[in-house]
Amino acid sequence: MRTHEEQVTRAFEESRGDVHRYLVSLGVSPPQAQEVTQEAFLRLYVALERGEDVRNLRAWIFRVAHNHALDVRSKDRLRPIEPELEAMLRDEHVSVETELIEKEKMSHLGKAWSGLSPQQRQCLHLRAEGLLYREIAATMQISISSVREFLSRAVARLQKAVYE
Amino acid sequence: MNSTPHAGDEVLLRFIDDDLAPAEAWAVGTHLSSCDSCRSQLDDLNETLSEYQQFHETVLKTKLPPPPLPWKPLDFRAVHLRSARSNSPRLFASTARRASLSPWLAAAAALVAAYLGVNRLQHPPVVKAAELLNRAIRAEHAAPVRNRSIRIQTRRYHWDRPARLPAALPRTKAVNSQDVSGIRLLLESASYSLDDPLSAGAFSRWHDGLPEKQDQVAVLAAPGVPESYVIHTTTTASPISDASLTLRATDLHAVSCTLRFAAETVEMTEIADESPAPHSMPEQPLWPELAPAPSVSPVPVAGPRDELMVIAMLHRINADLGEPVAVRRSGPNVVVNVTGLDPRRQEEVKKALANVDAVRLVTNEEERDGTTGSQRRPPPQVDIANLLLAELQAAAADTSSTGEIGD
Repeated sequence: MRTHEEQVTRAFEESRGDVHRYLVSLGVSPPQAQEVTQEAFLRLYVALERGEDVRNLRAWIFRVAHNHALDVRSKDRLRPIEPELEAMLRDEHVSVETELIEKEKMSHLGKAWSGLSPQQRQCLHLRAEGLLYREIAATMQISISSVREFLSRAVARLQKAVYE
Repeated sequence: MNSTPHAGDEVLLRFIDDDLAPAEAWAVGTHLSSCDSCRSQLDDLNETLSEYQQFHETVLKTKLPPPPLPWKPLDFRAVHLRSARSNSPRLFASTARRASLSPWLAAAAALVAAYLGVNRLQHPPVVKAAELLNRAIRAEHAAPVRNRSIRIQTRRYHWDRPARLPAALPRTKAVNSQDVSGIRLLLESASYSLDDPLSAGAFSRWHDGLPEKQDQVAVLAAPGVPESYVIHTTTTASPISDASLTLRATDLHAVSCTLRFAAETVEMTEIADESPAPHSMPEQPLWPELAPAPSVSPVPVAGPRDELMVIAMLHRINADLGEPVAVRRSGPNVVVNVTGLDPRRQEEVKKALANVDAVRLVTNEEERDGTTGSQRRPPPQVDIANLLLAELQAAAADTSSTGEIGD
């Protein structure tokens, strides 16, 4: 049986990069995102030490990091994402180490992605990170039906980009 | 023939993501088994999701900026320290709720708490003073060199000087006991470094040289006061019987230090305005002996610490609550007005305060004689002090909920 320190250290090593990237995608600066990530894992440790029932460590971390990021920077000041990144993803010459056809698909997806709303992007991001709908809802503090709607519309736009 | 309705994209997505109730999922599965159109739609959806996953991993995640610094290992010890505070914020939270309490009083509450023995802990110690000092020293070494100034103050004098003194300066100049260089002698008598006295390094060197000592670490947290840790050391093996070092929690920077000698107390604080680099202002004296007269202030003023010490001593004999004892600062003294106490109790108060140098006791007779002048009106600080002590008493009664960490 692993101690909480070992458990959290392992989760930290496995997921810190993903959590950091998610926070940066929310518009948090990389240094701030790093601090928030570190803090979220320490909070996880405290929660485990207090005997809280944490079923999915990864989902718990995303939720706490998301909320802490909003605490650190007020919602109003959160930028959706770095404008350069958005422009880069819109750029059809985006460099991806894949075959030409794949490259083209990625470019189309990049364009479609940059046209999505921040909430749609967040839902997609968290889904791609393996969170369930209820976990995404808890992270973003929205209802599950909103998550379904955001995802459904986002996927429809992506599908259009892939097949057209 | 398939009689069930076609599944829309949202339902198919939920089917893929296992978000449907079992009955719904069963119905969709049944429909899919017999509907080519929906199966094709499901395949397209799966492919789109798979393409997006690839985009997420190979494009989006690689384009998001990485962390600026290498990841540090998680500092679980810091969590213990913070959780010790957050589990037990009652003392500071409740004092802070009182708008009438000034920030210094809330901050100094930890010191008083230490004197009152609030820190009789049931929990095992989780933070050792030595470890905290070591971390603070490492932080000092890592921090950029700053030209900061400090004030070293006794009851009668204060000495403003650069925090660090160049090694080439004289150390053994003859001194006059009335001169602030008495401070120097005082510190040297206790082998307390003068080079950079307001630092974790200086405190640690003194601390580590003690053959016998007791340490306590307290966490200060109150609105308006930067969160900080106070290392409180008592010893019988040094002329300094009692020393407290306050470290700012954010960077473990030493912000104040109090050294209590038998007949004197030396307080060191950082002066908020940083002085320019020494080479840019050669006129600023580095040693008090060489200083023009204004660098020595002969104005003696009782400080909050004196007042808190008095309150702590009164608490020891339970003279702080329910008895007509008034405490206030007035010039060089902390005036304790015991008007209304019977002579025997007055004597007890006098005895309890015998070791506090700055105290001036005012009795009934003096009041009638008019010798106390403006001390007739009960000072406003009395209520504040008593409120504070009520909190401290409550905290003492519940030792498991104090913000103190023993060592």
